[in-house]
Amino acid sequence: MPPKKQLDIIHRWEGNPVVNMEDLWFRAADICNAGAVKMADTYLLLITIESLRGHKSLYLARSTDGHYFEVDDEPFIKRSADKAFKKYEEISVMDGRITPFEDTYYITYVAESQYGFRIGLARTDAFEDVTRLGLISAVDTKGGTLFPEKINGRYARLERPWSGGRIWISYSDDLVYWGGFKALLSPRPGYWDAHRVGAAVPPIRLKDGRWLLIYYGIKDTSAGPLFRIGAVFLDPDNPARVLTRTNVPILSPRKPYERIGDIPNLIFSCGAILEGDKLLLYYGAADSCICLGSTTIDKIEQECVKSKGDF
Amino acid sequence: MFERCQKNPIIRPADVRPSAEGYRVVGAFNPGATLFNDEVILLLRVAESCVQQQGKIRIPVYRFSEGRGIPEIKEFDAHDPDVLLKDTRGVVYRGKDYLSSISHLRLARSVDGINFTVDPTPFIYPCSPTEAYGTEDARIVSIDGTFYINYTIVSTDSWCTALSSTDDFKKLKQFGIIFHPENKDVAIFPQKINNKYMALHRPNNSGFGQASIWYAESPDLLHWGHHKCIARPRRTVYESMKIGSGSAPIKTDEGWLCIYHAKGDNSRYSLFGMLLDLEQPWKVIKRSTMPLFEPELEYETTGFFGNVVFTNGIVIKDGQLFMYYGSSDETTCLAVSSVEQILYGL
Repeated sequence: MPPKKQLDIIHRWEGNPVVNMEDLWFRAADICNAGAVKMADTYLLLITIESLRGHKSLYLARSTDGHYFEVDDEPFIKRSADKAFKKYEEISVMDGRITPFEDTYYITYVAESQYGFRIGLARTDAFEDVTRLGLISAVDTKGGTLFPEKINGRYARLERPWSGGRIWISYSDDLVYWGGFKALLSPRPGYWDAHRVGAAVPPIRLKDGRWLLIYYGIKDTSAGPLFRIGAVFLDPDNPARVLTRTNVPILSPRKPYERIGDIPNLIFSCGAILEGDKLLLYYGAADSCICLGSTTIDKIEQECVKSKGDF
Repeated sequence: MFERCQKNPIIRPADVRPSAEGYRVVGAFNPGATLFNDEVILLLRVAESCVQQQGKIRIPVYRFSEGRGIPEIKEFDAHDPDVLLKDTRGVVYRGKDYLSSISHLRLARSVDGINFTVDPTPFIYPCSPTEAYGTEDARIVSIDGTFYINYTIVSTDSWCTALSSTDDFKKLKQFGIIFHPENKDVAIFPQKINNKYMALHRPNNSGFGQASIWYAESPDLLHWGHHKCIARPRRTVYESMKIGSGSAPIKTDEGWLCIYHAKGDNSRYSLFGMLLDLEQPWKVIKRSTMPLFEPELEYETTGFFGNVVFTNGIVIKDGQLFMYYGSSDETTCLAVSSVEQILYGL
């Protein structure tokens, strides 16, 4: 008998979810998604949690094996009281993405206020304290993340302006002033990512030099938006150039914990950890828990090749 | 406080030669303006559609080749069931959008600021797929002898702001996108403060919230940061939909004078004044509660899109403030005032 067909190339951990409501020390409304990084031997998640009142903040969770996490009882980044940030963060700080960069870590997050969504940038050396560097975008943009190294001598970032639903790249000498804007990845009419795409995980530099970008794709359906995960490989020297893209999602909501929750049929990732060839993808499911899925670069690569003509 | 020019509209579509055979100019409006070699230079938004033929729907399109846009005509059979007319502004054919008119930017020159000669050919013409639906609403600012021109570029999926420069209004240097979608109404200040360029811009904020005027600064005009929201639309009949800045802010003793447009109830556009702090231009010192200027005369209330007055080009000439404005998305008009009068009226 042929082996059972595997629906996604991402293998879900049997013990999923890795973090759910019962794991919190406090009452909360939602567990949305998590940025992820491995610092020395510690697996770190930066989890977006919405309070019962309705504000989102970013909480750290730590693990020694990547499966069992302890969540802090105080947020690592919460809505700022600082005058320069306060009015732009009055509703939420959320969707933290961690970019390891030389010997420090940059965190991009989405600041939400009555003015709209902006991208915030913060820095931490050891996840003990955090410094806000600034709000680096205007308004009307989400899905911001930083490349983990300079591209041709300049910082580079990705983001998803609301209009057009595309991922854009831009560059900066100083992390303050940004320019050289170019659209990098577009939604594909008729496909699973027909309506909006955005960077999920900060770009990962592979051994062969190429960049792996795990992204989310959205198809608007009569039951609301369907969020799925896909992947693209980008040119080693010019990440604005897409080399190949999966024509099918690498992860789709299927399990009850992905389908049932405050936002059903939602999987949303802000972080992954690459260990050798193995990719550990942490993703939020149904806005209610954090899950773990794993795959290999090789499998993603094959999916890019195999899914050509799959449509 | 403004006196309309007796010769209004001073430029009409009929004054402009089409950029291609089979094209028809339907708008010559929303000009950027500056002074150059004792002349007033306008950079008009020229909107073109196609000369129509019985039984056909003809749409202007550009084919892009080697960094140039080549004007072409797409022809549909009027009875083709796949052709869907999308109000007056476009056609949808098998899921693809086509605009019934596309804009480029054209120079016009005048010694007296009233009688203009329009160049026979375009100055800034769509040149890549990111400009497939046109280039619109230029602002010209002179900084240290160079003229910087920012304008809206429109494509299938969005619009945003690009920057070019010229020293002589002959050669153009293009720098690409400076504010990503959706962002327009960018007004660059005519000088640096603390060694930084400054601009007002207008993220559309269509995903969330309201379209407001933002401030940003830059070390090089290409990279922008320190964004701040400085003025939001007020809940009045005049500003209910959105606001956006106009031409380069004008330096006065009391502050930076900005004339901005407001889109209010029933999509009616009017013009307001705002004064920004000289040293900290993200601080609004004064803002007029009533419009300084609004559509009143027939050429302002009727046209391609009636009840629109929109300015993105102001020059100070012989001590007077010449405000060039687009009327009803169709013609170019002039109204004259002075800085003192406007400041007094704020």
